[in-house]
Amino acid sequence: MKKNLFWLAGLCAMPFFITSCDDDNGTTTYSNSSSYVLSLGVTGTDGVTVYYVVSTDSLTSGTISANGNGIEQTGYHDYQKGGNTIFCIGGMGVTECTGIVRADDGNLEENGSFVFTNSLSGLTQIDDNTMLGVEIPANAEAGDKFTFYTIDANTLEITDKNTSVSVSPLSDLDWPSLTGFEYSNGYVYLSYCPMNSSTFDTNYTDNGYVAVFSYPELKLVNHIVDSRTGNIGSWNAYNGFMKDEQGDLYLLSNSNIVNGYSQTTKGASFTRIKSGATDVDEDYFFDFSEVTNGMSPSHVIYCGNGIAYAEVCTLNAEQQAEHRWSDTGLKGMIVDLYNKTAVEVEGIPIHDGDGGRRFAALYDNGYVYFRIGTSEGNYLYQVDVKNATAIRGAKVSATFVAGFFAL
Amino acid sequence: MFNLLKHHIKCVALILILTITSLRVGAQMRVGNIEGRVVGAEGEGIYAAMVIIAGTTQGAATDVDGHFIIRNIAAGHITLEVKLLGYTNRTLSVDVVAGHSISTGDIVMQPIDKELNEVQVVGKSAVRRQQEMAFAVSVVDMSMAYNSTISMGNIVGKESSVRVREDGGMGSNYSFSINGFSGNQVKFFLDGIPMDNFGSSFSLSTLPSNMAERIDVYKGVLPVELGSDALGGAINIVSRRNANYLDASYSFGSFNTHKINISGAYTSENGFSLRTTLYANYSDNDYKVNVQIVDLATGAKGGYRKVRRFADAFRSLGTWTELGVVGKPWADRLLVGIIASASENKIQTGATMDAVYGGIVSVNHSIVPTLRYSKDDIFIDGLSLSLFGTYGAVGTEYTDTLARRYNWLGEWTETTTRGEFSLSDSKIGNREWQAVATLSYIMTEHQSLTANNSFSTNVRKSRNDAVPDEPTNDVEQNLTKNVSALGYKVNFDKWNLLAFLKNYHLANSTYKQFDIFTDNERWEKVSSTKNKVGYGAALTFFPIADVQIKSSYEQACRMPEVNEMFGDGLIQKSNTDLKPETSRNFNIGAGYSRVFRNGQRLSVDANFIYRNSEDFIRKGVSVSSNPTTSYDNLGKVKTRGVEGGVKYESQFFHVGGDVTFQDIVDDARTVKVTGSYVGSGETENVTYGQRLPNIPYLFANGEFGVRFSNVGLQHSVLTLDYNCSYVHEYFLSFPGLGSVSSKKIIPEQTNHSLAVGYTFSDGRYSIAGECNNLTDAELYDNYKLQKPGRSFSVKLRYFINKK
Repeated sequence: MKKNLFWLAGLCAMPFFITSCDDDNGTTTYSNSSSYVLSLGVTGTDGVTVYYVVSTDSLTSGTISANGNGIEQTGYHDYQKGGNTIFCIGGMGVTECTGIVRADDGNLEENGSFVFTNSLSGLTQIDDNTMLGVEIPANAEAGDKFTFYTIDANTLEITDKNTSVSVSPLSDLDWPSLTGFEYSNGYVYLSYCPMNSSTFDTNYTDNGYVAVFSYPELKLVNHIVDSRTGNIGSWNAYNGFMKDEQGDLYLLSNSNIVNGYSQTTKGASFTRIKSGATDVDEDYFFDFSEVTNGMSPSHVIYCGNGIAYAEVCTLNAEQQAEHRWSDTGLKGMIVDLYNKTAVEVEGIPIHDGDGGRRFAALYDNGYVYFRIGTSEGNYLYQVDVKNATAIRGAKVSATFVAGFFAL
Repeated sequence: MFNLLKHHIKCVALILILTITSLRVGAQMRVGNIEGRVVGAEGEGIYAAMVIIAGTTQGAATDVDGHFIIRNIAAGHITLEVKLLGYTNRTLSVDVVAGHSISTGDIVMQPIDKELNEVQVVGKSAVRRQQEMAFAVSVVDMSMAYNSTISMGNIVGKESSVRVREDGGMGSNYSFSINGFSGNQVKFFLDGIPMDNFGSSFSLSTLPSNMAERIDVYKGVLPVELGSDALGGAINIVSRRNANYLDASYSFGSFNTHKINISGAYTSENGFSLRTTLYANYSDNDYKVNVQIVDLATGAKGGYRKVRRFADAFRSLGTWTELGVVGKPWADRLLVGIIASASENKIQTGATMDAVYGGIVSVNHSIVPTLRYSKDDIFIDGLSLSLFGTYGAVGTEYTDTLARRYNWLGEWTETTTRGEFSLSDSKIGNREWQAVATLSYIMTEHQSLTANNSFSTNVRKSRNDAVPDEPTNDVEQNLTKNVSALGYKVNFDKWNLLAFLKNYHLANSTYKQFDIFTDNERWEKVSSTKNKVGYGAALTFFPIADVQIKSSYEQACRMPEVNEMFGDGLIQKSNTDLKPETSRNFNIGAGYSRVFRNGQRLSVDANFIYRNSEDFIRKGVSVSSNPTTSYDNLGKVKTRGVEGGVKYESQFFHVGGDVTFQDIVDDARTVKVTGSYVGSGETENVTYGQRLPNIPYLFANGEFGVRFSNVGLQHSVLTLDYNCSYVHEYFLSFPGLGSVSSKKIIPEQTNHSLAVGYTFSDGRYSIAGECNNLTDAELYDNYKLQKPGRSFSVKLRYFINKK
């Protein structure tokens, strides 16, 4: 009996002795010295998505996975590159911005973070040292002013906050949902669709809307209402603008139901705002629907010299109506914005997109890379932009790709 | 479905009839139990008294609190003898009724120097006691906790396989996890009444421990009497049964925490009975946390600092009062009562410590009238009936309207967006009717049948005044559930068996808007019904004396809630194809329990569980802020767990501990992606075979206590207790992904606590002091939310048990 008691006492005392040192959660580095960075979104059986920012040197073969590697980020995240920093925006309960850079030794490292007051609706690069962010309240009841954040891209700190700009006149028809946010040559351009913030219905799709703000004053200098097009961009896809080498902005209008619109009243088109202008270029109109017999780009990525790669929805408005928000039925096309032509890319299966997210694609050295979900799993596809052909590349062991960069 | 069900019922009925007829022939001998408590003149429990049936060797020794139970006594008139050195022997007559457990109430003993000619027996009411032996159940004896300041929830949390998950201090969000199941998968009962809709102001986190006699924690199969669609276990609070008592206490402690409790019962000789529990709680919850301070101007995250929580106060007030008659020929018990409670809770943090709020308040109030009736031997011998009904009006108000951003110093800045988390000035109203009937029949000495039917219907409406145009405002949602269960029990000395069949039926409805913004815009009622059959069996076997082997298997299910099935009626899509969550649970366990001649008691037990669960109801894969994702049956999880415990107690000290290890892994090879932005159809599940994150998987508890009698004052008891709990580190995300150094982990935690109690005047007065988290360790839960550091509390208690 006495022996037993001894043993029992030992068992009780066990928790005292099972102790170990806490892990050091300081700056961490990751042993990879390659030139591509992907954020892999992994949604577990628990329904929770966690992001892993991994580095890889090959996009065309092998498997890219987060097994035992990658910087873990919890909570919803969105990724954008500014200078040599990847801005990771999101978090749990707060909207944080964490920078990821490639250190001198070639490894990825987190280089600081800050917290936004509420959330962030859009972010754009002003110059090498400055980023500009904007927040729009979730609905009219929550507030009627924008918050503009000026961010030091090197120290990752908010250097200025402007809360004096009224959301009106953007909110005159319905609440504005940001679809594009871009800086060019002294002006900040914000495209949006008027969307009911409760029902998410879009009842004002007859015009393209862009607000033009002077920078750095952030004064509204023009509110563009372009009746040639429907709304610019689509909900949460940040596909409103592409900026070319001259600083000209090319505006995409699609009003795709598969990208969140509740109705489509105009065909797909591209329009232009010339560098330094505060209004659309009335002389430029690329009627994409007409050129392609009624197709509509859902996502675009600019490749240089007026060429863009577009994920184009093959469904007509009637078919789309059954798949609102689904971002489905996509194929690839090479779009020449200068010459107003579009060519189909060979080798890409009809697939679903990342709609409702920024198009996580990379243009690098003549090729566009992005993820497609196939019946065999997720694969990167490599599109040869010049020849309009594509091949299947590396396998991606993740639910989706949230960010894709060369760094 | 219905045909299948009919077939099931037919089969079971046939088996039952055959078994019953065959067993009835040979078995005519009928037995019952006797239980009670041996107390001193002041009502204090007497330890190690022998209670023997005169003329036999059958009997039992009392435990530390004076309780005893003698099982399997032949029905009929017997004489009990109660003996203890230093006290006058007592004898009393008891009628043993077959299949019943007869309570003697408190048997009062007189020290040998006093003479007393007649034995006093108090509260002699026959209370049927469920035989829980075949279930995987932990019984928490609450009488051990009456002097403690720890909340009822945290006492339950000390059981093996059970974790209390809390967001913070008193009144914070909490949930129970039993073998990894949590949320709606675990059900709560108060005296067998489902607590689903009693409101959060009347819950385990606020109820005083002094109102409960014991808490049963079922870790697998539920008894038929608890008709409910629990997937992963249940917790049943059994209220105190003393016929006449008053228990009043006041405790105060760190963080300006105060708790007042008055519980009592009065039963007159003609059977009139009044029982009540009143409680009030208050805490500032301003404990220190180690957090990063955000510079509100630049958004920069500063270094870690220890600061006090500043907007986390909680207050609650409540009562459960019942009035009626007991011990009447037509009713063993007929009680009408009311639960009334209210609470106000300031909300300091969001999902993580990074989200800090200053002005979010949640207010809850509930009014729940109750009716309970029970009668043994109704109409015929061996047939008993129990009924209860409740009506509940439960409201929740949630206010988040400030246009401010706070940091951990309590500083704030004006923002352009109202609502610190999400603009809300909402009221949710629930009205619920509940009716539960249990009929049981003891057929023979060895067999009984129990039938239970639980019905509930709930109507919910919500309104957000901050967004008056919100189309979901005032939309009615209805959920009706009916669970029918039939159980058959066989009892022998060496083994007993329970087999049961359950039928779950659910009907729910809500209103949805169609053809918005067209001339045809309208609200239409949409509804859906679901039916599901569950079954299971539990077996207990006593191979040798003092050793018990238990095994159970159940096909369990949980029905979808109205929100899950219909979304919010607008943005969240409905999914009327939603299936119930299902789980196949298998438990096997062995226990050794022995009482030695000098009253020492040793118990050792070990259990193994195996579960295959699937079709968890979760929000569909939502990787963007996709507003239209629906709830879906996602995931497949395999659980293997072991738990073991040892406990040794004597009159002078007790020592014990338990360890739980549960390996809960993702068992889905593919993930079905629907209604999301990232493709649809089946895709490879990257986390197949990995341990589920954010659930503790290895934890242990230890306890040690000593007890001294007559220190200082005569008839006094001094106790010293030490408890520790250990939780091994666990990951917040799937363990195999990401580099080790960037993984978000909840580090290993150990909590030590110490308590001193002094009781005098034979239990009438007591004073207790406690120190929780003795080493001031940083303790965490859900997403690393910090829990209080070292804290102190004192409890003063007055108790009288009238004879």
